[in-house]
Amino acid sequence: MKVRTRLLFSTVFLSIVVLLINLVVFVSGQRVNQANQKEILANNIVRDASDLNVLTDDYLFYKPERAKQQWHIRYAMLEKLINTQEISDPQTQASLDKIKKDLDRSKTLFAQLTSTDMSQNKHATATSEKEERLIGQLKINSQLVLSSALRLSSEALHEREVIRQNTDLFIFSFIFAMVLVTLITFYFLYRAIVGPITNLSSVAKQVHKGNLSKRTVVKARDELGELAATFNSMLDALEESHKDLEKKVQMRTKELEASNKDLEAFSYSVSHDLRAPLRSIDGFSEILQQDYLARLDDEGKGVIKTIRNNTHQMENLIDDLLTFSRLGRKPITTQTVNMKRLVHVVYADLKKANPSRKINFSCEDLPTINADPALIKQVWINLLSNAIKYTNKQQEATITVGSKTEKDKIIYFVKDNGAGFDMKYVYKLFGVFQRLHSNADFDGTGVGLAIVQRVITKHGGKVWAEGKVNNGATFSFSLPSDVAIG
Amino acid sequence: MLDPKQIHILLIDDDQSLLRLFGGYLEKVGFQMLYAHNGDEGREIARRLQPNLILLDLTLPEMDGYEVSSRLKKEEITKHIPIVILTSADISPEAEKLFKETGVADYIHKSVQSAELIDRVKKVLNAS
Repeated sequence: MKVRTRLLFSTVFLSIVVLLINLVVFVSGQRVNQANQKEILANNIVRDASDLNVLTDDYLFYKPERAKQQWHIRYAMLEKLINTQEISDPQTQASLDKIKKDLDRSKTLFAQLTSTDMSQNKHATATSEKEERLIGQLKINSQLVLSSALRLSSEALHEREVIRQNTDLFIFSFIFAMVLVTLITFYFLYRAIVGPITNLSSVAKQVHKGNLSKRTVVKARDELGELAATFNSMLDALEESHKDLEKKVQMRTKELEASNKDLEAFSYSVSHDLRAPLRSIDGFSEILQQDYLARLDDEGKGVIKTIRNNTHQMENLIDDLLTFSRLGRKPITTQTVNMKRLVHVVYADLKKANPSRKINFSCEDLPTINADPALIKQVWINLLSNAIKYTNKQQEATITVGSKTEKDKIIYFVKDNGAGFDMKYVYKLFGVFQRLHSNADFDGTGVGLAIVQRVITKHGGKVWAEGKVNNGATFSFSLPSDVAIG
Repeated sequence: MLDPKQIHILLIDDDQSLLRLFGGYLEKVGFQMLYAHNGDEGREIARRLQPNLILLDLTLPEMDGYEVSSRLKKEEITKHIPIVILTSADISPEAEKLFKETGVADYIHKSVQSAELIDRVKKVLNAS
């Protein structure tokens, strides 16, 4: 059965029960009302009948005309009371009829009595016996009326009590049935809803954890069963597309790895094959410069110098390219690196190559780190040589090396007051062969920062730069501090 | 001290300009130079003319430098001649090991400057 049907069924049933209870309460209210009216009527009859008795006694003792008139008035009231009643209950009607009959008899007796009294003076002794008999009959008759009325009253009381008890019983049974049916309905609803939902939720949790192979159980043929079936087929589709995606990713990764390898092999062999002819160009132009200089005019000397400068530039380029492509092939081997000592060694070497430069160099305390020492050394060489190179037009060059320890990483930076760069082109800085300055201003190959980025990325870190034209630059790199010591 | 004029050096390289360049450096200080463009030619000259030293390029056509050197070392008539390898590649630890196994006297990167080249050739000659 569908959950909707069950809910509809239980709602309709409960509504019917509530309606029935209302009906019972209404009907019993009506009947209680009837009993109350009957009681009131009986009580009125008792009151009027008692009054008639009192008036009869009053008349018998004193025989006043007033009592006789009052008796008739009271009788008329009582007769009217009984005659105006609309009684549907036959038992009550029978009681009333009996009362009416007795009353009629009382009226006849009372009339005989009063007529006897009018001739009392003429036949005083003859009538007294008849009078006695009439009085006796009248009294008995009055008593009959009274007792009938009293019985009617007690009947009404009893009826009311019975109605109340029955009503209570009905209402109690209905409420009991209602509670029972509600409990049963809810038990089945609970089983039909909570079980499948718990199942569904536990499978959904598994899916959340990444396990796509779990399926929920489909038992019921209701809405939840439909939901579970839909959920399962959704998981089927998800799992399939996931597998598909994984396959695609694997394929692409393989393709990428292959093309990466090809690219590296290519750049390696190109650089390699470029070196030999370059060596000849350099060697022969050197011979020309050394042995034939006297025979050249000034322009010829200039040309030779240009050839040699360009040759050296190209040698540097090839060396950098070789270093760059070597980085891709070599796995990193980490050990503890004393960064401060390394920076000082690198800086001393670079300073030796630029003895004429005046540089304010300062290096803060740097935390040691686990890294590939040769590669990290290359990073410092590239960053510091850049800083030295791009400050060479400054009267007084200032280069600062520092670090910042964050929650899960350490940031190292090199700050200079050199030529800087336009932040517009910052995204170009770390690309291979990308340069923001011309060779005429600052020579270079455009590979140095690409090497820095490659090394740091291989270590799981990041590189970035901030700068302003003619206002210095700061190059930063972060390394994950789970490899940091101290 | 040895007299360069008495010393014959065989230079084997397929690159004509490099033959001229390195040959020029060594001739300038007085060495007698012999030239070969490939391994077979080099071995032939070595057998017949018995040079005092062989400078051997690693990347030769057909038969590479490793093979030429190991063949030279196997032949009775040439095995005494010291061999110096010339290479334009970075010398990896594996390559270094290979050189030692084949009995190579030294290995020189082609980016070497003339003075260092002469220096190292002289060192090998003195040792032999």
